[in-house]
Amino acid sequence: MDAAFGEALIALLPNLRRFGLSLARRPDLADDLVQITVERAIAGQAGFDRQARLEPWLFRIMRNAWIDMTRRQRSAGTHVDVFDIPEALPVDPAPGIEARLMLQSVEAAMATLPEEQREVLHLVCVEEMTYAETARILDIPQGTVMSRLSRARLALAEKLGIK
Amino acid sequence: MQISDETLMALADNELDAQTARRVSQAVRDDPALAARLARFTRTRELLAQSIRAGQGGTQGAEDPLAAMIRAGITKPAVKPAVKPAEKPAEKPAPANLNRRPILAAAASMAIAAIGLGWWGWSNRLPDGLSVPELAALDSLPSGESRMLDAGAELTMIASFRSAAGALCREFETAQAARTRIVLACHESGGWHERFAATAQQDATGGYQPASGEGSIDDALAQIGASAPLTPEEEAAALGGNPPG
Repeated sequence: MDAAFGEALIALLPNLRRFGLSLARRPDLADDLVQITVERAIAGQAGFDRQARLEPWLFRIMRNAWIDMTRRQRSAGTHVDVFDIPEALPVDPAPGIEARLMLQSVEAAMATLPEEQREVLHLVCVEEMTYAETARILDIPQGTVMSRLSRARLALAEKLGIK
Repeated sequence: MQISDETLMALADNELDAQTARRVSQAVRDDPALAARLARFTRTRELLAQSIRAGQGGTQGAEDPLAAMIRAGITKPAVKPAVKPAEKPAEKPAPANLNRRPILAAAASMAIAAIGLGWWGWSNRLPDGLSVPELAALDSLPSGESRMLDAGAELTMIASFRSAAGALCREFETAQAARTRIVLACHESGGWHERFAATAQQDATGGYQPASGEGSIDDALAQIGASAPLTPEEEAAALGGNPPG
């Protein structure tokens, strides 16, 4: 593996973890997803077009890993939602209590959305993927990305009291 | 002028072409109601970006332990451990073929040994590797359900697929003590045939070390050209049409 690819991968670990958390909503599963994604990315780097952006390629790997994981876990264990156990949320003392409250209300509002809306929201609004990139990551038409994203944003605005 | 929510959202997300963006921006300036609708999209994006990045991205004081692993992979590509299936080259043969290549690296022979160990504890095995209770489960157990086999083993059906040739294929796991065996079997020429099998061993820390990788179930699925997993209804129909044996 070449060093530049590795360093690019390392730089994106926080993004991968965020997306993993948004998909799995459990820190331990998010960690697993990041690890699987990194392993698959390293194994499959020959298939990565060096001219392309790395993020969409990695997010796509992670989403596929998540589909595999849910397929396997349909029968296994109880689901503990990260938003039911506040101490499982990452601790961030620096920006102060207000930011934490906002985080919690945004997260709580997001948690009420269907998964298909949550993932487009996260990819576009948090990870700044374009509509076209999001469509490729999720394997859906761009029109579907836009309709899901628009529904999700309007629902979120409503829940957060944005008129 | 009629402007849809999606167009306003595309403006907020910088996804409109320059000409349309100018046109829509002008309309928004002329119409407070439109501006309020636009604000729902700009505000949600701002809030999401700020709060989620602040909450989850800013916590990485120390470097992620994975970073060291990645760097180690950069400097030592030649000494990959055999237990890392995801790092094996994609053209790796199916495990069933490993024994036809006696002079493989130590990595491969370790994988064979692990598979051999996997066979060991399973009695009642037919020539192609599937036991009678496993065959019964393949015929009838819905995906997502588990059933106890003899000797304390528990079989969990994972999913059903169609191969490119249209055959019904099913993936299941059998767990016994600290060992999990993962199997892909396809129903062809009147019976179930094993297309892939691997075992994983639980290590001392409680984590699972794939002996010959769970990762390669993906290769096996790719090899048969597997469809997306069948829905419960499709699966029930497929099982109904498959007489035992």
